Amino acid sequence: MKYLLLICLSVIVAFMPSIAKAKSLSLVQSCAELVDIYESRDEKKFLASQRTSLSESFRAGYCRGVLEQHRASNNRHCSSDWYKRAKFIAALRNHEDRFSDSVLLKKSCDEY
Amino acid sequence: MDRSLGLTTSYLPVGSAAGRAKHYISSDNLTKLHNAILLHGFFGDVRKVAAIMKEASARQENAQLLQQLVVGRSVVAGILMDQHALGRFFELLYSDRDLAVERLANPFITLPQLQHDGPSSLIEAARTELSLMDPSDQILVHYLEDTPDSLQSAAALAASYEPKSRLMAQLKERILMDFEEAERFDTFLDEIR
Repeated sequence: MKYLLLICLSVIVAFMPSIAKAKSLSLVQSCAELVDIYESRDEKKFLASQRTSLSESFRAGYCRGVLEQHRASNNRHCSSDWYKRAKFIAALRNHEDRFSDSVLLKKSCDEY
Repeated sequence: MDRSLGLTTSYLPVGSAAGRAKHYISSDNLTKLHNAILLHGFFGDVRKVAAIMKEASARQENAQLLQQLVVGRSVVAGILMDQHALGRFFELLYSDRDLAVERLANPFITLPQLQHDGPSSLIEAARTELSLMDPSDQILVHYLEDTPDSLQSAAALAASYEPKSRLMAQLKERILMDFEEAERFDTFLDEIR
């Protein structure tokens, strides 16, 4: 169920014409969820499933989808390592008001 | 995931003699704290206690499984319990009455958290006596322990277990589904990384 949610969100967001339409979800918080899930995965087998709620999976899938969509629609070079980009964005979880989503996406491209 | 118990505390940033900061809990929250401590004495897991206090489904499920494990026993893994109080504890836990307003009866002769050098919860204590338990109780303990390792142990036992009651049949199905879901989630995360 959780992985279905994650993949569905990634696919839906990737085909959306503009990421601006789904603004109600916080990109920083969503990427933080994505990184948290992978940190649990790396910490212990089966921990990710036990610790992750459906809403957290949903948000994580949103981050993944936005990163994919942004890279696909960007003509200039941007790293294919979406996990590093998600970590970069998630690291700003206490300062998310300072940057817009588009600035964060661009900066994560420049960084990696 | 929100693991807090929803207690309102005020924080005084002045250290006591022992160097610890003091937290004051509002008197309105003492019932909630009382209930959380008793539930923690059984389950030993703050995350689970918070879920029981907040979600009706978690409260019902854990009440059923815990009762199955302790019913008719005055001692579980060295922890003594008052049967009369245990009956009243389950009566309130099974109801939909507010655990922020009504206090659960205390079935422990001594709170597990206060026993020196021993396990700090009934589930933790039960885990040390698994070899003395029948397979259904072993499955219950592993499932209630609710860690990645215990899920694996519960699934390994459940796979060859023949349930003798509807509750245990449902639990077997649930454990095998949870285990399959956990495996698929890990595999999926690896695949898309």
